[in-house]
Amino acid sequence: MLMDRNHIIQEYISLAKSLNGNVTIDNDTLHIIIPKESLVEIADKLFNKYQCDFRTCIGVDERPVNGYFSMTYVFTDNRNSLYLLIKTYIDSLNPSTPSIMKVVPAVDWCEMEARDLLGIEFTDREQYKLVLPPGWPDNVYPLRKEVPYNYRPLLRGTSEKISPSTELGVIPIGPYHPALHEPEYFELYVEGERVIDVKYRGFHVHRGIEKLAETRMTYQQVNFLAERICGICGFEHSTCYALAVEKAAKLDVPERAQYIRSIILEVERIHSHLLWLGVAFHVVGYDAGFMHMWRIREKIMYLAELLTGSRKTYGINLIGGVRKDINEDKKQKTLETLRELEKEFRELIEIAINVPQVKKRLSGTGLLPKEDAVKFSVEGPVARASGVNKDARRDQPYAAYKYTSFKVPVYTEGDNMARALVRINEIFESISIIEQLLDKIPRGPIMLEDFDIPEGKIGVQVVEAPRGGDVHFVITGHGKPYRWRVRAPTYNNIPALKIMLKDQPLADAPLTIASIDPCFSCTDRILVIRENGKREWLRITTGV
Amino acid sequence: MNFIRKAVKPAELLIIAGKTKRVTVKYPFEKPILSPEFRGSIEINHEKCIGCGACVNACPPNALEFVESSDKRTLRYNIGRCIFCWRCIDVCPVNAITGTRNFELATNDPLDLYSYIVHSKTKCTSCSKTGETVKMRKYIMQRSPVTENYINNCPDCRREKFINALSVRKVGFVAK
Amino acid sequence: MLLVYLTLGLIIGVISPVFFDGIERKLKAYLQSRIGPPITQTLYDLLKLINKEVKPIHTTPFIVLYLLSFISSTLASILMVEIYVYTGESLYITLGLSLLAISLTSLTIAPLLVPNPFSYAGGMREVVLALINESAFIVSVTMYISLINNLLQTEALSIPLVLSVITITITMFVSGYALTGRAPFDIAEAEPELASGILVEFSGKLLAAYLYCNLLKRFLITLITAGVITAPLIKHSVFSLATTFVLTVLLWIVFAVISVTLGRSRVDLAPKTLAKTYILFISLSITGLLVHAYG
Ligand code: SF4
Ligand code: SF4
Repeated sequence: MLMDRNHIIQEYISLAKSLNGNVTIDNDTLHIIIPKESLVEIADKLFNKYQCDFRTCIGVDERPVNGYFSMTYVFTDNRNSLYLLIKTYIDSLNPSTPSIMKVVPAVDWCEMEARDLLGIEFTDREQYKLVLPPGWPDNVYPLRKEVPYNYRPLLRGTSEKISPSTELGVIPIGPYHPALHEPEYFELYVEGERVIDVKYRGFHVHRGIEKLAETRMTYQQVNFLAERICGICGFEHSTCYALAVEKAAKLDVPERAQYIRSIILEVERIHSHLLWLGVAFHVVGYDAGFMHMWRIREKIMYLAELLTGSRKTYGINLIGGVRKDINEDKKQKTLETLRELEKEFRELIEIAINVPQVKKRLSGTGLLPKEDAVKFSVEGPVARASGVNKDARRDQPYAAYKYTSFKVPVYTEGDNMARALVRINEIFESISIIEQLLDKIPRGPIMLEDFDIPEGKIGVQVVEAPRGGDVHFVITGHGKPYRWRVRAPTYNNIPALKIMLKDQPLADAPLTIASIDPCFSCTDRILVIRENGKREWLRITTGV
Repeated sequence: MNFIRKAVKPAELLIIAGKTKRVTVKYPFEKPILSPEFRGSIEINHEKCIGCGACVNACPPNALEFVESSDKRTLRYNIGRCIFCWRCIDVCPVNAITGTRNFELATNDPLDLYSYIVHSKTKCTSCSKTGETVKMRKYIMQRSPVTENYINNCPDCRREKFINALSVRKVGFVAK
Repeated sequence: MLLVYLTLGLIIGVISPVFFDGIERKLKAYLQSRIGPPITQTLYDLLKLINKEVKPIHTTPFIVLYLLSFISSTLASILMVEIYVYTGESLYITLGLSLLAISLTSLTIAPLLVPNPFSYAGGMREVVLALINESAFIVSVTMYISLINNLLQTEALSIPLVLSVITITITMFVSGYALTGRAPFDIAEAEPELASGILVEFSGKLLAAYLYCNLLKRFLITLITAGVITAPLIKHSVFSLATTFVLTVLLWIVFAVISVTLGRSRVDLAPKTLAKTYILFISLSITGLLVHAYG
């Protein structure tokens, strides 16, 4: 559907108008306010007819401002670099709105999250508790503005029984399991060694990040918190947050800062993909490949430290620019490191991919057909391995990506091998992107001096993290965000695991789980209670 | 031929292994490689710090905090919370904070994690409420060429006195 | 004199697997560009485990029983192999092989007694692998001995016979390697999917014993392979025994290096591939023998 951008914008506007909607255009973002009766229809049109990408939905407590709750659904039109924010106001006394799950299946989790955290009821769908722990008091919705961020109800520890199944073997994977490294729970129903069904229970490690940012941090402090959403791709999150706020406040960030952001983003992508390859090799028992992959990765970690001051959680992003410049010396060092890295990586990956067990176990396992990939709105390498051609770096150009040219690897096989190949190709592309950026980087300041952030503005940004698109949505407030919503890519990818795991050998289950490069703690970000339900703080002086 | 080459390809790993030296080090006997840019823990200079609180406001994880008492304001640094972002260094107006490359911060005694800088607070000469730190007042006085009459008062008394003085000048008496 | 050598051999058999494993770990570390643990690390690990408490499950006594049966039959088997190497009497290797069969069976059954899905899944995998490898190993070792004796006795070089010996040697090595449970055949304790599978419920002394048993198994299999190669070639008894030990170490190292370059296979792939290989090679070998005899 190649259409002139203005033409398609007109089309969206007339679509919204025909449904009693109200449209404002703000650069690349279309804010569409729609009565809740037309919600399903517009979502259906956007998702199924215009093939927009569904990213996430956001519930906001706007009662202190205008007396309503609101739900915002973020769609992106990837071909035309457009963000479409479909917003509907919901009465605050009896908050309820029709669910769009029938037309957009990927909305499942984020609607349930809004229900748990804001108390918005969704009609026409099955509702369940997703985020809050069992035993959480009714009628306490943590993201409502009147609930203090440090509210801690007394919870008693409860246990969930593995569903008693007589005919099938049940293999629990998690919450603590050597293949996962993070608390998450899969229940695999097996017949012999074949997985025939999967149950997933997540959200064990809510950290209350959104609430924290909305209550007791300042704009600039949130950058550092955002960076800690994920231990692997934190910089994407802090960039995404900064870009969203900058977009909302219409700040003109110096070009040089944007270049540096892009460079560091690619450094992070390389290290993350190398890490993933290492983990994948470890999962298929090829430990030598794992060790050597991480040995190579060490070079990029050192590079990251040289460029930012820290191996991980770089801490150089601020709203308005970056904190650390790249001088000539570092530039040379970077280019040198990248050349070495490329050579060693090429050598090693060729060997590793030819190890018979690696080849056999990656190919043809963890299949995700394209239809399902679209249905679940999966992100990143998972999408690209299933033939969905999307990459926010190209589709929603941010930072300095518009000045570079790169290929977006897309495979149609949809198996674990395809996901590995996407990542391998992306490493080479990233190396080339960094080289291009370093070559073109303009002179100038790296930080915007003196700026204001007006209140009540909305900014939304997608940043392509190694695992897929991060979505950050910000409503600006007084000295801090009024609402900050984060959607990590794994949030969309996990539901697709059900399809990928089914009818596969048990032995490949960890590999398939690993193949989406899951990052559970990014997916769960919301709450305040420790898993055992006790309300203890870790006190440094006394211990627990 | 190609088939055989593919089959023995995994063995080439041994060549790579032979070529690369060992990359792990016998830590702690050998030090790991740090880049010159590495950010470690911070040190606050007792002499220089004026207790202005800029770093306290900027510190993202609240590793720097003020502990208040009736006449003392203590700047407490908790390494256990510090994320080594060095934002405090950026914002300190008197460059009292320096970054170190120290990262071996583990300790057996949790109290070692804290360091303190104690400032005495100024006392309002009129109402004896306490205000900013003594050093901070000195710093302000040095920076602003006009030294106010009411510098020794707390902001409340200062406002009151100012208004009173104004009204005396304008209408001749203190408006109630 | 024989008694002294045998006692010595037995003591070596009991102690050395622990250090061989240490060497293997050091070697792996080297190939992975790491420093790695000291050679005595396996010993330390076992000692540490011995000092830890056991979390008993209700089948623990049976497991202990099976492990005891394994250890006694394995030691007896080691003894038999050593006597075979020393004397060159084929009877002893036959005894050794039958003891090996008993010991492998005990070790394979032990994890199946653990009431845990991981352990059970891992145990079943082990059974499938053992079924194929054990038979292939015993068949190929027996065939190898008769074939090599045949080859040594024929004056004129017979090409079919040589080929027959080569194929059966390969079978012996492959099945021996597979029996030692190294990658790609370490699927029973596959850590990522089965949380270390068969090891999952073992703790403390029991875990130490089980791990030690696995090392002992590796030693026995390597020793048999080394023994049947040396014994027919070197007739001098003491020298033969010593060569066998040296060869055992070398084989152990070769196996370790091979395992570094490979990944872990899958239970639906490994047995099939192995079975195909064995059938092909054994039938090739038999064909060679037939051609030699009647051709
Ligand atoms: S380095 Fe960062 S976290 Fe540590 S005290 Fe300074 S501002 Fe706070
Ligand atoms: S002078 Fe510097 S160190 Fe002292 S409180 Fe102010 S900002 Fe912090």
